[in-house]
Amino acid sequence: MNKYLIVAKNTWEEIFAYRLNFIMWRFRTLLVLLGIFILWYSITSQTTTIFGYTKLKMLTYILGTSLMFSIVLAGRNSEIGDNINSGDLSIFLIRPWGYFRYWFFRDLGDKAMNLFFAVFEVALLILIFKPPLFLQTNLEFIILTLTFIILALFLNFFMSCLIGLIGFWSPEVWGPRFLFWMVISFLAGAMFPLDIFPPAVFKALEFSPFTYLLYFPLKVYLGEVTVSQIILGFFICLFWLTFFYFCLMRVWKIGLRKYGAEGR
Amino acid sequence: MKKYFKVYLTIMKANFSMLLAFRSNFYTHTFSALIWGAFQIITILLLTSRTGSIANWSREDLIILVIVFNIFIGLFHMIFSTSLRNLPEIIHQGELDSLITLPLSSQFLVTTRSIYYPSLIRTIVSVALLIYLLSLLNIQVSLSAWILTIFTGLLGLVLLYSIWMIVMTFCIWNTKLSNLFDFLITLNGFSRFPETMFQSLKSILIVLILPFIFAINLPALIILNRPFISELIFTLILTVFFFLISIYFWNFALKSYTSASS
Repeated sequence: MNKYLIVAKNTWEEIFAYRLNFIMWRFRTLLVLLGIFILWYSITSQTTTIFGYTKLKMLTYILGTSLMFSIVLAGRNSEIGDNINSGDLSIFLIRPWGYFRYWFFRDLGDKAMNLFFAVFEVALLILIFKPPLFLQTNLEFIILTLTFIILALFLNFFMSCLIGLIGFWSPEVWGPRFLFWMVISFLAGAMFPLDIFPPAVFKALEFSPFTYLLYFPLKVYLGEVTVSQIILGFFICLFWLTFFYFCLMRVWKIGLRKYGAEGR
Repeated sequence: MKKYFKVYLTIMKANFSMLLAFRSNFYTHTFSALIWGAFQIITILLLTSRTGSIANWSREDLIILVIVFNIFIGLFHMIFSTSLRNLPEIIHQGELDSLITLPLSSQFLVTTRSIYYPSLIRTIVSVALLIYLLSLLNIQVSLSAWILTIFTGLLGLVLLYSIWMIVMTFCIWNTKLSNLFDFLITLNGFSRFPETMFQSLKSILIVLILPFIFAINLPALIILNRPFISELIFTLILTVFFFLISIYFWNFALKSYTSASS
């Protein structure tokens, strides 16, 4: 376990190696959040409730997605495709550690850094706009939120690694990864809560894995889910976790057979 | 001027040849660009499904704004952004040496090296969508308004280019600033929102965002027959100012350029 913690620590230090570049990146992240926040601030100023959300809960949701994004969606495993294409995978295969465990801890280092600064960025927006915010006080909902966040973290990790394994078959990983990122941004609830979709679309999305990345954990935090919805959500999440885990392991084995270490 | 035109034509042909050599890349990138544009329109449809308007812009106005955004940002990405994204790499690898020794403006050469053709498809589809939507909504746009729209759109492109050029020029001093490109893409993204939405932002950040908003909002204001004179004057002044600064700053930065031993 120590060697993996060192990987997480090294990831943190790597990010800070080019400090000005890092500052630009965080400023850009703040601007992205600002754009979405201002959009919803503007919409919620026109009416007392919108899509069944009060201003309080909608703005809490939007700011919550920023924090959730840094925990669930941030990571470094997007480099897996390049790793395979450049032949650098060979180095990992001869080392005494698990490939996916390496990337998981690398992701953890990245997530820790993202979360640390996301808290400051969200605090800055709160300071500027002074929006009404909902603070969950029910311990059960808080524990359930944390549970679903952990499940979401693993779910995104498996899906993202799977996309990266396209590198075994194609030198072009950017396209599928960009498409994946677009779909995630749209269907995970990063820009708006998914229940603003027409009911039939939302019903279908409830069974997709994307709903459980950002939207569902935040709904649990807001206390807007029933016990049956929580149980159903848990089992759907577990199903997708199992499905993507086995897909990942299977595709990894098939890919390794094909791997030719081109570039090395 | 004729010389520059001939060189640009050659660059376009060379980039087109590369496109034909890597066709799957072209299809993937075109598909991604179109899907992204579609998501933006679907987002507006969803957000306005209960409110009908945002910041005094109706649903139809917002969709037209998003389509205008896709047209001009598509053109911007086609002509400028790929070249500017590669600028840090060109400097780092020493390829800038070969460009500054040519008998042409080095700013022109670094700006026009790469043409991103998938964005052209995005622009064409968006133009077709705009014409279809205007006829569906029975919005009449006079010939003079169309000419003014194209003029202000091109003005906006020059404004965006100038700001991008100024910011990316900093790579001459620090080639590791790879996040500058993503930072500018995020600022570009603000231009798909109406300017009135940012009136609540009483902060220095508005200074950063306003030029980007006006660059794309202006053509949309003309098409929608909304007041635009103050925005036009503001954008004109900003464009001339930033364009001249971009030329001066690039030439200033070149004095600090030290080759990477090419």
